[in-house]
Amino acid sequence: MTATHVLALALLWCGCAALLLSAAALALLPTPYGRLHALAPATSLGVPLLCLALAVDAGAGRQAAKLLVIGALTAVSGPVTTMVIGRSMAAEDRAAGSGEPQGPPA
Amino acid sequence: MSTSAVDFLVAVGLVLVGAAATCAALTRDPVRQSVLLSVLGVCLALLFLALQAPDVALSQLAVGSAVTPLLFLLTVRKVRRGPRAGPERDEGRGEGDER
Amino acid sequence: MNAWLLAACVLLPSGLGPCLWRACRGEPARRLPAMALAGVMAVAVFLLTARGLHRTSYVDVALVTAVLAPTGTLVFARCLAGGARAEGAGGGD
Repeated sequence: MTATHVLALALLWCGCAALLLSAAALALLPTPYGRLHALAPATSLGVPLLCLALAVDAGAGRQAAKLLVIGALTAVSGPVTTMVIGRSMAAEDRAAGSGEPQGPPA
Repeated sequence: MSTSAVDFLVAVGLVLVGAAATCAALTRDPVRQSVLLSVLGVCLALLFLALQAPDVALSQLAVGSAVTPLLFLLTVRKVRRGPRAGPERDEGRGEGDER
Repeated sequence: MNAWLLAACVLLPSGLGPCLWRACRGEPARRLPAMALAGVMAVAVFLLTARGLHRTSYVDVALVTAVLAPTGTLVFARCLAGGARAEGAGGGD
């Protein structure tokens, strides 16, 4: 039980907590535009923390670099995906007619 | 020791695949079905990885979660927009193609 | 059972269950957040399984998922927005 092992386990459970928070938010939030924000903890906190934990556990080398690339890729693609999905939802609301009281496209 | 965990992962994957396939079969609208088909592809890839077949999971990811639902979506768009592209926009619309 | 496989066993049902449930209801564009989150959860479970089973080659599957799932979601959203625009009154962007 060395220090790096403890650090990796702590990072692992922090990442898992962020991912579970994101899943709970997706299940429990009532409005569609609120559910859109459920993606944020998973992409910008959960998976990068998980990749950091695995990289700490693997030590320096190509494997750690690959894991960090995966984490960075997810962290970059998350906000982009959220923006495009929000725009698509707004376009669908406009096409369905503006009388739908489903909340503003903030 | 890790075989029990793998068994649990396989069981959960089977349940998820069954639920996703049932939902996709019970959905009527092809656009919504294509979204569910993409989720089903991800679940199938997880099941294949739990069964320790990573190459099958790779091809399932490429085909099942990206290409096939997109082909469905493009086909539905083409079919729905096709009759309206002519000069008579409103007569060419069928009855059954609205959601 | 080590901690990595335990985390994968926790994340697979409790992460993908809500995604599947939310992907079953609502308008087509409102199902897209569930689809994106399913991709993210799949990346996490792939990584944890790779580490838990000591197979470093499984990391490649996670890498492919991290590239393909957001790309698929982006193209999906663009197609849905284009379809909604074509089905509406022909409004602008």
